[in-house]
Amino acid sequence: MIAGTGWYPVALADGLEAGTSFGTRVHGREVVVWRDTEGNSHVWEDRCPHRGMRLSFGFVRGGHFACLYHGWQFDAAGQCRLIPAHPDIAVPNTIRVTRARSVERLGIVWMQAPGEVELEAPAENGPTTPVRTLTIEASPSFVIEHLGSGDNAGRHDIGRLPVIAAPQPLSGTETALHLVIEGSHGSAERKAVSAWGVALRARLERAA
Amino acid sequence: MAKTDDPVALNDWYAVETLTDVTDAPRRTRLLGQDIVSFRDADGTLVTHEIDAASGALGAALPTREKFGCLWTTLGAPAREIFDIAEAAMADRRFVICGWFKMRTSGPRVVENFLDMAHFPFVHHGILGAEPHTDVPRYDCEIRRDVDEVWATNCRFFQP
Amino acid sequence: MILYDFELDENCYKVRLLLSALGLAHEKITVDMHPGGEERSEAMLALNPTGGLPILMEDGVALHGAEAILLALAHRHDPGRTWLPAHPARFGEVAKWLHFAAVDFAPAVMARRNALFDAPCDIGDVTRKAKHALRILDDHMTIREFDGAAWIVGERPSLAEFSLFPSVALSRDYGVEHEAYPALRRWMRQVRGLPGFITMPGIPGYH
Repeated sequence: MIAGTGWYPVALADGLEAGTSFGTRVHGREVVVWRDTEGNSHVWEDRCPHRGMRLSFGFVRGGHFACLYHGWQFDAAGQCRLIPAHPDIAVPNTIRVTRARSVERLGIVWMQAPGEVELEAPAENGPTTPVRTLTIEASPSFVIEHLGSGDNAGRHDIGRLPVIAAPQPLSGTETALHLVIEGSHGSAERKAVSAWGVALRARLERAA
Repeated sequence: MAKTDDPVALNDWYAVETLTDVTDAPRRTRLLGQDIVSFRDADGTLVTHEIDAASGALGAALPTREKFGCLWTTLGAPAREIFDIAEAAMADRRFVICGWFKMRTSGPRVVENFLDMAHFPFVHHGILGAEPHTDVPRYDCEIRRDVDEVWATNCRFFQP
Repeated sequence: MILYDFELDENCYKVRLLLSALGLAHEKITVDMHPGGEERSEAMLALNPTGGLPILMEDGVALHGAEAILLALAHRHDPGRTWLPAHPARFGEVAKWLHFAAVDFAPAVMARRNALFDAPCDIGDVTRKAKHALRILDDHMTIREFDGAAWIVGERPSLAEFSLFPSVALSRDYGVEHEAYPALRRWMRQVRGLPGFITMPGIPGYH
């Protein structure tokens, strides 16, 4: 679950509402993360095959994801199913978006970068309490070095709470850090871990 | 940033300033990666030069044209003069300068966007288009060899 | 009631948002802010000597300052206190965020004017300050979400929504994406769902 496994955290599952999408990056490569109305999350290359528009500006329409530019609709498998400018034509099956393998584990959406050798999806799972995703203006290697790897599963003991801090390398100079607490916890614990994360962010940015 | 070496892009005319903005005080902008500066000299003649971004040293003088309320220039050697718009020459018409604004995209993307109707219902919904009227009816496309231009005519689209 | 307005100005958009939410009939006069700089003409300076927009004219009184206009409109036209809480603590919090919007998002306004219209400024400095304000607001909404709250203040949307939304939503105009502000992303979606919500160029209608 930690750096080097080939699986990258890109979102807290709880923060991705059904019918919504947003854009993020892994090593500078832009991806769109979206959740369909049935509750399944998807991670695609943030680029419409039509004119290269960022899909992350798009919208969910039924079981499809639509690009904002011309409304082209793609199904959950990434296949284009509707071209609104010519609604009656049969869309060629070559028109599809590039998808990344993705899974939800431990309350986090993980993606495997497209083009890499297929790796086993992370096996670990279990209930967690979402806290937040912090964006830190520091390099991923700096964040990971400072964070330490925690125990074997990437857990850190924060005030006796088992926190998983999953780093996402946004670029060479920015890192997202997804924080969840193992088990079920209330708002007091979420606030405590959030405060720890904010203090960490401040320390890392001062030192970076 | 370096000046483009694309000959098609270089050998054309571009509007770079609103004429009423150009006075004896130099105005600087950038065209195809090249910083340029424009002003009116003591006779009121329009002058445009390449300028070195770092040192501010003036470079080559560039051809200028006044047309449609704009200052036009080129970094190359266009084969033709600036196109005409018949309506602009009519005495009982006027054109209104609406200003300019910047956007973070490439020139060809802007041209593509201006030619395209299919985005109207999604990007300009409620104004230039609206679902479910997303169909783009067939229109006519021709290359007019005499003026070396591509023309799209008989373009129709549902607009609310 | 007359609103002196410029379509692309985010401060004018704050007032347009509230006028739409309140369903208030008004005359809108477009002022040629760009390229004309008309807000600094003699006639406009007579209404607002600080030389800016929006200006709201009602009963012969000219108001300027978007946040002041929001307060005045709510005070006069929202007797049910839908958008401006009567509760003292909530009122104070709304006032705090209106001040934040006016002061701490001022660099964001400058960054956008530079990006769109070449208005001179130290773009690196104002962008850094804009990101700092966005982060403060995202931190605030993150904590609010822990308390199950969806709005800036209290249990309902308030003037704070209209005052803060434009500068958050339009940050892409000067190259600041919303990737780093997940709580604000969810909050923006809430604001878009408000009755009477209207967009402006730079804020897509579909989401």
